[in-house]
Amino acid sequence: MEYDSLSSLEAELGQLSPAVLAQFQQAAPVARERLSPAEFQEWAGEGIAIARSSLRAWEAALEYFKATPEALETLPYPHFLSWAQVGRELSQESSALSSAYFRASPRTLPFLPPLRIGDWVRIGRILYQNTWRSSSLGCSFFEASPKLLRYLKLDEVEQFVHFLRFMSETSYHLATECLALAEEVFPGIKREDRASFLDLALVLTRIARRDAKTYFASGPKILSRIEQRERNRFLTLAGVIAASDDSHVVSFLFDGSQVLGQLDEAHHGRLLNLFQEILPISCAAAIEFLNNSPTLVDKVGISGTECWLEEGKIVLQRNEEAGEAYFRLESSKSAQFLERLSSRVELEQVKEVLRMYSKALTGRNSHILCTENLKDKGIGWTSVEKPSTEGTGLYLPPFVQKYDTKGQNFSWYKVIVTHQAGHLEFGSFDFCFDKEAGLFPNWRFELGGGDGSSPTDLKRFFDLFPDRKLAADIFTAVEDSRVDYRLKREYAGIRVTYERIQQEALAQRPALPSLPLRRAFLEVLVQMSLDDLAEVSFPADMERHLRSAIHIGSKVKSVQATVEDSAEATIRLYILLSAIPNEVRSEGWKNADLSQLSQDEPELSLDQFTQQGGAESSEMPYESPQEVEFRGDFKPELVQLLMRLRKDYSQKDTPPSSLSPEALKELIEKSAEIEIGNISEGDLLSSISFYLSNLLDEAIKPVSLLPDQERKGEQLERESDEKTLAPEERAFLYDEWDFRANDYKPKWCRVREKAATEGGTDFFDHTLKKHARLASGIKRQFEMLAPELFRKVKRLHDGDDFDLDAVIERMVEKKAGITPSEKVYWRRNKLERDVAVVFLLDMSASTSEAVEEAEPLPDLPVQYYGDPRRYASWLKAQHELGSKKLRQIIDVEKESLVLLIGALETVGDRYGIYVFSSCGRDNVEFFVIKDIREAFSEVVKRRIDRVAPLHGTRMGPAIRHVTSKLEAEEARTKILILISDGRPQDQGYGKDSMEKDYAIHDTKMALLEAKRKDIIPFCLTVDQAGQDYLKKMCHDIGYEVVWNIESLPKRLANLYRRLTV
Amino acid sequence: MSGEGVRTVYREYMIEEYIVREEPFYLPLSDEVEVFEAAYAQKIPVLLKGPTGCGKTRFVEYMAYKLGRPLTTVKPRSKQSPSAPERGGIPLVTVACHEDLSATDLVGRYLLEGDSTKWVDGPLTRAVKAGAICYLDEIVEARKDTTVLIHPLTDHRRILPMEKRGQIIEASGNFLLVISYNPGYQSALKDLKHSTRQRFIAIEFGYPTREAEKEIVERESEVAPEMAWELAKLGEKVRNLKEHGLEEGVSTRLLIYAAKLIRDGIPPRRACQVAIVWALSDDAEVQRSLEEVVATIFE
Repeated sequence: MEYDSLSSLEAELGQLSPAVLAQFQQAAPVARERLSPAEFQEWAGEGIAIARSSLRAWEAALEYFKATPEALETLPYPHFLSWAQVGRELSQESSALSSAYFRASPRTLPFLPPLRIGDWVRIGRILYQNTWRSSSLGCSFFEASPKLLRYLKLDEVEQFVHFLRFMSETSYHLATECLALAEEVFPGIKREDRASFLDLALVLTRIARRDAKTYFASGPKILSRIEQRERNRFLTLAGVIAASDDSHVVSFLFDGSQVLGQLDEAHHGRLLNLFQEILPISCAAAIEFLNNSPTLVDKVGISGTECWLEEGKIVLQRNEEAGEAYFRLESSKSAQFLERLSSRVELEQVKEVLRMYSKALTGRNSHILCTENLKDKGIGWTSVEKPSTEGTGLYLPPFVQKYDTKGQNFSWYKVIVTHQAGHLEFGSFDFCFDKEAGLFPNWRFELGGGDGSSPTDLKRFFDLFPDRKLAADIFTAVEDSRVDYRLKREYAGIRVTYERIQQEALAQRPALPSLPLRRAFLEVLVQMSLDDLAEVSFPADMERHLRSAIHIGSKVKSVQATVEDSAEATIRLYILLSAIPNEVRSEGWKNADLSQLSQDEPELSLDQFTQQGGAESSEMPYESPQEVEFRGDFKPELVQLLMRLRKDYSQKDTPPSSLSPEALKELIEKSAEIEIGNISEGDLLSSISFYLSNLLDEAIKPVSLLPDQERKGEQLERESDEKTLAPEERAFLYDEWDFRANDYKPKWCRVREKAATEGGTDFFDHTLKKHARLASGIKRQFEMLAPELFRKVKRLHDGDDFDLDAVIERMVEKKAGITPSEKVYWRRNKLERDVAVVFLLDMSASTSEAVEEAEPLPDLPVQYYGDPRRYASWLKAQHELGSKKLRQIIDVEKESLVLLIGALETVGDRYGIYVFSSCGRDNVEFFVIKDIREAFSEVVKRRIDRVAPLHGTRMGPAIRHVTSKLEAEEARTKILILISDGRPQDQGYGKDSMEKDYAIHDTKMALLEAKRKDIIPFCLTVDQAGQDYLKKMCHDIGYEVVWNIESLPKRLANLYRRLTV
Repeated sequence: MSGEGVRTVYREYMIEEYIVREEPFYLPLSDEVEVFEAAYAQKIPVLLKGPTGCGKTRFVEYMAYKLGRPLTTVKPRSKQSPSAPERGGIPLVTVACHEDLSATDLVGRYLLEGDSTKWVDGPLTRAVKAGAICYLDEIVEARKDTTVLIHPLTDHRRILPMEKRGQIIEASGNFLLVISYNPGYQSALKDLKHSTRQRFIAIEFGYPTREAEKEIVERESEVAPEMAWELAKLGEKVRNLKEHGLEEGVSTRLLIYAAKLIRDGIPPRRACQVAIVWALSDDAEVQRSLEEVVATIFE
């Protein structure tokens, strides 16, 4: 029966077309194997149905049978059947399409979930318009499907097809071209951007059909100009533009991307933010803005651009036309504003200059920091705008744009720095309670003022006053006045600028009559510190007081005046001022001529000091005067405290001084310099302890905030109980080579350099003892290097002695009448050994492998993630193991080093020893055992002791780091010796942990880079399986594999000799 | 400066006859003059340490002049009667050391003359014979074999071995070896060996104080005292930048140059720019900082 049906089928097929029959016969065995007889029947029947469905459908049937074996492979039968049925339906419409469908199926089905086969065909049919052109487009689509599905999801394919159909409305030729391009276009666009890309393509077909194809074709190029994360947004924005105004979208796409391409990628996000801000207001303006952005960024920087745009936005909102002109840079307002912005001086740019300037003036190390940093420290400073100092750092506002020219803005900074430097130079913070003032009798001593137990002298001084705030304000005014005076006297060059800025400050002072009296007095003091007042409007009955105050105040304007004089003046002024009621006077103001000052001492006596001004009801609470902008915050008490704390911490040996926490707390509570007024009572205690701990922190750590320094490591180190030198940790960024992209990944790896922790010297000494014979042997070999360095150079004009041969020759020549040669000397020319060598040791986890095949190492936790405590416990475990005499690779590496150091010291070459280990690209730890410039010492011995296996082996960045170190050395021969135990590997160093190529290529590139910089790289490996990857890594770089690990020390020495001679 | 180079062997120049005839200006900063006098009397070699341009060479010249004056009582202990002081002064032989300077260069060598050879003394030999003060400037630069000569000359023996001629020369009574050395910029590799170091007494030179420097600048350049003061102030400020952008502070010599330019009519800011700012650094930022300091001090 089976036979019958088969032959009848064959007969039927034969009638249709002999080719179909042949194909059927070919496919039948496979089908029979896979299908039950009933299914087989169905399968064949489907083929016949297809063949019969239309005139040329036998072609489709042919393809059907042809695709069958492969389709059966991928599809379970029910799906297989529906696959066939879908094809049959298609063949009723167009046999050509159907054939294309079946033909493309084997390659497409693996990319397609079986349930979506129907969708696929439906999508294909979108293109078919009952014309032969459309059917050929449809066929091409099916043909291209496998490639499309590789890059696109089916939904995206549908979008693409819609795009093609729209294109085909204009021209089938265009659509076919686009389809052909798809293969190149989609791989160039990131997966997450494809949907938006297609969306936009669709939109474009509607509004700018002619550009749509260009857009599609150059899609990858357009997007590649834009920073990766911003691409999607860029496309979305284009969509928004297209929706609102079709004429701009093309310009946005092509010109806009080009403009962005010119700019630093880091700015793309911010620029698009800005663009987005104006877009809703005016599309044209936004596009103009984008097109002009390179000019803007170039001129005023990105933050300047932001300011400029803010201004433009206001203009735009008011008047669209004017706004567009603004953004076209065609309005004078915009040009002016730009000019203003471009004259702005940013701290970042002048920081270094100002730092050196202040260092030169004061001789102290000061750091220039942005005021934001000081505020964040939480030690009492709260203002961002006002400049200040806390003893070691100068804090300045982030930028200055007060004036029209850069020069003027810079001199503003300069005056600020000079003023702060003046405080340091003229000793504002060096106030000493017991030091005598020169110009005033010392009332301080009479007032007593506690004993020497106060944490700072200034606190002791301010403690004298019942009203600390008033005293502090007077002191500030007087001391500023003194410092400014001294500065102007000392530095003639800056005088003019300084006075100009003083005048400007004066112009901003409040008018006296508006102030309560006591405050008005203080205001006069501030004003006279800015200029010599000739005339002041003041209540007539107060003129006597005023004259006294001015007399005292002007006394400190003298070269002889010291900070102690300022303090004495403060006492006197305090007496004067505290007697004055702080009330507003509305009448009786009259101009007092101050050009003539009496020379008489004002009548004041100490007795008045204790008398408090009568607390009348009309009195206003006293408020501090408004600060002078260029002087900023002056907090002498805090600065003195910090300086004191720092000193205490720097001299650890001295017994802890009187600075008990209680004393500190008291100081902070009392000090008028910390504004805790607005904190509620309950918070007071906690905020004081907050200040306290911050202050202490501040005192302990150095202020240095060099940008490349990182704090974390330091912090960690402090926590550990080991008493190590706080290692300075510095971070460096290096590129990494991606061989697939054939390009560097910029700033990909972070190398953290730190000094290795120190252990004991036992290991070093023990090794030398253990290998005494080997050590002396190596040493002898190295000593033999030395004599080889002298070479006798003959026939010189000048030298140590006659070269006998040359002299004889000369005689002969002379006799023979030839002009004799003058070159008759020889000299020993010392070929100075000028070698700098660096040993880079791999301390990855794998170096913990045992050398002798004793017993396998028990499982030890080898990950401590930099936690010193876990590391310590691991070490301990390691030591216990050590009793079992298990030698690890790292031990051998270390021993070789010890022996080599001894040898190197005899030759006198410069050498550095570093070890590294890595834990991801962000954390390549780089330990300094001995820096190239460092002299060999006990410390080095101790560091070697602590070298122990850690994490991974990311060789590239470590090699690049030592390369940069060697590069800085001046030496004729520079050598880099890499000692490792196996192939490079690390997290993310390659696609997965098994992939070697990426890591090897990067390492190779790093070695090549070194070579290009005239450094001789050499790889030494103790990996028994090393040969194969070394060959790849070092194809023209020297390498050696040490098979017998015990011979490493000797091999190393030999190698070194060979390389340096 | 004496002006004699090292390679004077081809020229007939009586190196040992160079005597400082006019009193050089030297402002003692502390007791270095007394110390040197005592060392000279006791024939103890002297090592002068200090940064460039702080007056080491000037000091030696001054001492050579001062010690050579008849008034100075130099007790000749050696039997040989020194010839130089009779001519009215102690000769000063200055050798600027460089990295190729070898013992031969100092001692002397044979020259070919016709069919015979002729021995020519080197500067050190001449100084030894003539009883001069021999000043080896920047000694660490010289080749190591020079120590062979320096050692016997600087201990109790006071002899100069002349290997090639098979001779030994006893130093004349007036002879004294003075070497100088700048600890600042010599690399650790080129440090003085202790065996050499410990044959000398060391006089350390620092930069002068503001007052002294003002005096020096004023005397050397004949500029107005106020200007000299400002320049001294500038010197002090610029030196604060040592190791903070500058490898070495500004030398008194440069300050004097600036003063001389100012005296000749160059505006102070410009004079300081060419003589100090540009001379000290090539780094644009450092230059800018220095210029700001200059602009702060000078009108």
